[in-house]
Amino acid sequence: MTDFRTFVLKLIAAFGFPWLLLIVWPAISYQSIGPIAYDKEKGDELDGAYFFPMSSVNHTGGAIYAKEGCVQCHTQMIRPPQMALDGWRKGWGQDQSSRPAEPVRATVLRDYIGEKQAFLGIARVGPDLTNAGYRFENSTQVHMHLYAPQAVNEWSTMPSYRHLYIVRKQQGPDSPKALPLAGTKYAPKEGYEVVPTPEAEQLAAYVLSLKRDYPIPGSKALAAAPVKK
Amino acid sequence: MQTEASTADLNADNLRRAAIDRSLKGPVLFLFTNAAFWLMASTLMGFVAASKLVSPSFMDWGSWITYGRLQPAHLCALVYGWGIQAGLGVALWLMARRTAVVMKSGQGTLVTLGILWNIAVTASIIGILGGGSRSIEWLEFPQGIWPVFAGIFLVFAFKIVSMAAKPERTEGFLISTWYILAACFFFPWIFITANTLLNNLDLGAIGAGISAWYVHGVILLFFVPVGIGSAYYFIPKITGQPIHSAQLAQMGFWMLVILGSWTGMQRYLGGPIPAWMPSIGAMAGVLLLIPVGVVGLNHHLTTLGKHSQVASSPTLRFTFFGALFYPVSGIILALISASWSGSTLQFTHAWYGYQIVAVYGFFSMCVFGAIYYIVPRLAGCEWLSVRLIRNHFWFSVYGIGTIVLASVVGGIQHGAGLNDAANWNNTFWGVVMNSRGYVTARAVAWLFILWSNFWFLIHLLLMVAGLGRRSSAPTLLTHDHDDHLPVTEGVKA
Repeated sequence: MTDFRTFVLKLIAAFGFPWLLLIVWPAISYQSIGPIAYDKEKGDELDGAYFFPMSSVNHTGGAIYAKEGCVQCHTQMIRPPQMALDGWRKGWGQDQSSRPAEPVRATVLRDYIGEKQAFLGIARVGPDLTNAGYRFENSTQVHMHLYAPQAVNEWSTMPSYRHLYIVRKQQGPDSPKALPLAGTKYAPKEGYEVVPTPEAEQLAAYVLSLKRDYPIPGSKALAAAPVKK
Repeated sequence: MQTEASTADLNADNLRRAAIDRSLKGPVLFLFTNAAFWLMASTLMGFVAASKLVSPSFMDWGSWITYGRLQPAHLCALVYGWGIQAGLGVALWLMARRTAVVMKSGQGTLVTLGILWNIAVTASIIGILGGGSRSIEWLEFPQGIWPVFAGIFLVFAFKIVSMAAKPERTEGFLISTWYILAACFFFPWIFITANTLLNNLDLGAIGAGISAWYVHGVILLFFVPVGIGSAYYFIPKITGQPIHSAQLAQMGFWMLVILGSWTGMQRYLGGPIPAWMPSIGAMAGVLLLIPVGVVGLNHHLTTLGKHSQVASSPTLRFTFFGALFYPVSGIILALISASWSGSTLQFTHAWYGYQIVAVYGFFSMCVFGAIYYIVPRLAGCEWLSVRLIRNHFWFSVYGIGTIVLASVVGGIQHGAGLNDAANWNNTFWGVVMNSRGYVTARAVAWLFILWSNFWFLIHLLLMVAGLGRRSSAPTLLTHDHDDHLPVTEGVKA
């Protein structure tokens, strides 16, 4: 059956070429991705090398982010200003004021180093979380969003992640971890309090660790932006 | 294809067909029945998930039923439970008929593997709902399951490919064989590549690109080939006209294979992967309009003048509408891919619309058509009720049409809201409110489809149980009453 053999060879050739070039080669070359040095001659004001310290991302929390399927509604990717307004949206970058001086920079490959797979996301039913670490001031705010999203924004369609929290009888003085739900309709019964489980703590730590706007070498404007680690 | 066959030859042909059908009865009916169950499950989950996008407190019964787990479980059931399972059934039967190979042994193995496949799908769904999701699109199931899927598929693929390698009959144009073979080759290749790389390497943003490529690969190089392969088989068979143009058919095939394998990364256009990768994906996604158009044209020219049979033959009606959804899916893919419209449609409901139009609108409708043809031959009885078939057809068509329209139009509004400069310091309130109507439409449409699938499942189960009509005349849609149906030439071949 030479016909059959030729046909199969053609299939392999037609598919194998893009497979090697688009999938295998980038996957392998990504394994040896290295830091880029800042260059004073190009106007960088920083020393050392750009290698976004993604080790600072909380991977344990990332696994909880994955299993709860947060990617279904939240992206983690800022598109460049010439393509979309992502960078200008309020609260999507470091500057939380309603009129940031600069758009948030688009995300780059090195922003996701250390992550097994970047959670770039499926849809934007909710806001982007690339720089969510700046949006929340502390873990309590994140917990409020997770436990009772509608207590934060009444119109929100985010589900409550109650299963990551424990409602328990209050013992002694208020626990510092207890969520400030008093006065909302999500408050527990009198004498009870809502505290996060370790999983919820990890998830909140993950969200707070999302800061992907470290200046990129060779871009003056961005190097001038304030740096926070 | 058999123009001047003598009566003796015809008899021999009929005997061989009957022998092929008998040899495949167990595995194929098993795959179809279980697939139909998963389709029901997926439809139900699709309805609940869509409702949750409107009101998150709907059916708020615990962690396992939150949107973030339900939505991937819904698609997992649709893809692995229904799509690939039913697709394998159709591929197996089509290939046996095309090559005239009677499967001599291995039925038991195939059924056993089919059972294993369904256990793996069940484990995947339970895994995702129970909190084992990995959030890799279409590969959310717990990591240990993928070798099971891959192994089982490879055995089925081997059976199908070995029929093509040693055919008993070689005459006739083999375009549907090509498509089935391509599906058998590419799915394991794509599936194993994606799983091996994503499970074993730290891939960062490249990993997101690979997972997008995986989803497009499964759609364009498994679902689409099985759907077109089936359409290329049944349209000529039922209209009694040969495929209009062999050149167009070949061109459509090779362009799909070449372009389809480059498509996918445009999902993250403007994202953190090297710019050439999404760009080439965007280009391929738009260029795919050519093979889509070519195949659409060929199908149209083959059906030309025989449209009355679209009304009467259930197989042709489903296949015809499935084939119509192919260009629709191509246009939606091009809109999502091209950068001018893609920047609006990226990360909106339009993506869901594309998945549904490709997997449900196009692929599943073609597979329904195939099932309406294949099952009576395997079960030895005819479909019971014209009304149930009509019911299945119309509720499916309206349901899918609604989902696709609502997702794409809703996606345009969704994307416009996200990108509107006037919204730059607004909350997501506007986006949530604007999409509410479209998502409600999606939920209602899933209810329609649930209704249609429920009766399809019952109808199929009755057939498999051998409780169909005992008649030599196929069930056609021309008369409302089941008695004295006219026998149309070519339908029962």
